[in-house]
Amino acid sequence: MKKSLTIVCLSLGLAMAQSVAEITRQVQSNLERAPWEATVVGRVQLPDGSNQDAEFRLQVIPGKEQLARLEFKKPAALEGNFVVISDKEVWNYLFLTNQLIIQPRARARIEGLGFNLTNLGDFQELTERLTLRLLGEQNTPAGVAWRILGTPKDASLGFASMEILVLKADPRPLAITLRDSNNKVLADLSLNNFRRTSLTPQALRKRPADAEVLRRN
Amino acid sequence: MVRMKLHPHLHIVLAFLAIQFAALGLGQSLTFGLYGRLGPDYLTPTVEATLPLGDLDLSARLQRDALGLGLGGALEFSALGRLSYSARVSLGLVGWGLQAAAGGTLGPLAANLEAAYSNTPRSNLWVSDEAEGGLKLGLGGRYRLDSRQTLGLRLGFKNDLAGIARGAAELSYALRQGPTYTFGLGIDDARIYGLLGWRGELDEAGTLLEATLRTGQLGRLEAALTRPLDEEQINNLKLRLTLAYPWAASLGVEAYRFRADLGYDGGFSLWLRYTLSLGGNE
Repeated sequence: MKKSLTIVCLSLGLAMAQSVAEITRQVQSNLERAPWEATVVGRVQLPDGSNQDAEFRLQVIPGKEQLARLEFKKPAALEGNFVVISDKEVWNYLFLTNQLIIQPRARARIEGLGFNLTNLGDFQELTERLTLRLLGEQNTPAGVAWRILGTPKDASLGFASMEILVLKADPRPLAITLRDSNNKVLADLSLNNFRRTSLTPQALRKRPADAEVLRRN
Repeated sequence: MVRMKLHPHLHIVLAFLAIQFAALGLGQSLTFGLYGRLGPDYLTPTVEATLPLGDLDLSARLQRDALGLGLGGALEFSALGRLSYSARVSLGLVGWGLQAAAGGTLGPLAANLEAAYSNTPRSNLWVSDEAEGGLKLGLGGRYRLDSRQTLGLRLGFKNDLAGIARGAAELSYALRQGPTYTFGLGIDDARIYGLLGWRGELDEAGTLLEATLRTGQLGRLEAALTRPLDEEQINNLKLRLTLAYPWAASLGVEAYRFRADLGYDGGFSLWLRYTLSLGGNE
């Protein structure tokens, strides 16, 4: 009896693990189908400890030459700042000084807000750095969603846990919550106005023509 | 005679450095130039080079009779901001100079600080620098009140080689409503002036014009037009114009890897430059 219970538990665990991997695969292939954009809104904790309303526009062109652009709307102090990430480079544009800082992707610091938000555009890369567990399902205004808990495989990600809501009907992230080791919320963000749209690399790389370009190694 | 003896040496150093940078293939850029000036007549080749050195950037610039070496670095905070710092030492046959600068942007605040000292007019150490020596201090700051409004402050102090001290201050307010309009008031060596500025895109292609007029007891108009030459914005055509009273003027044209600067400040000057990229991450 005890043995069969263990087997049942192990099988269940395995099934759950497989389903998380399956969900991840579904999300990845869904997000890779075509260019898309979404508005990310919520609250984030800044390095000084204060909480701020945040709003960004995230645009992603998936595929071999993947490109993502994250453009700030809120906080007001950052409006106009943007980050562009390609396979090779990371661009950071600072509105206040009209500077575009270009760094090799391997060396660029793109977290900034305790978490690299553009990872939302590369679900595979994000989930590879986390140990994932399916917590269950939850009803949301957009429909039924899977609740997934991720814990970082190493400490470099800057948070202790991540909860992701993934829409079942159209597998994509709906919301993401980051907590530190004291269970304090570092970021609570939802992806709204998700839509597939035609985006060009030129549009994602658009910047003021007179920006001072600084290349850093 | 001493000057004549040393020239070939400097040229050898210059050529050696250029070959080294090229051979390493690590230099981000190498810029060759030729600068000429009438009254007093002066002709010199110029070389500017940058080389990444770990987290730092080493820069070198050479002209006839003078060599400058600089080191700069920065801490990047992604879209939140950055902190940068640099220092340069210049050595020439007629004197030496030191310069240090630091700048930072963090959220709504940007500030920069610059200090320079030279025992000869700085133009003797680098052709495009001002024809003044001595001590120079500068402080600039910008604060974003909200997403559309920015306050700016600039303070300057100079104590030239003759021991004459001068101060300058400028306060400005910029409002972004599509284009950005700037209004301000300044004082430079007891001369008061008003400031008006406009910056905005002129067309869908992203052609951008920035014009700033300072007028009152001094006059200075600066205009810069930048036009993308390709969709990727890798190459831009840049035109810069400066007109000032007491009479001085400059006109600059930059496209692809070429740059030409024509200037007048009592005498005419022309500086032609060509930039080579040598690997790095370009």
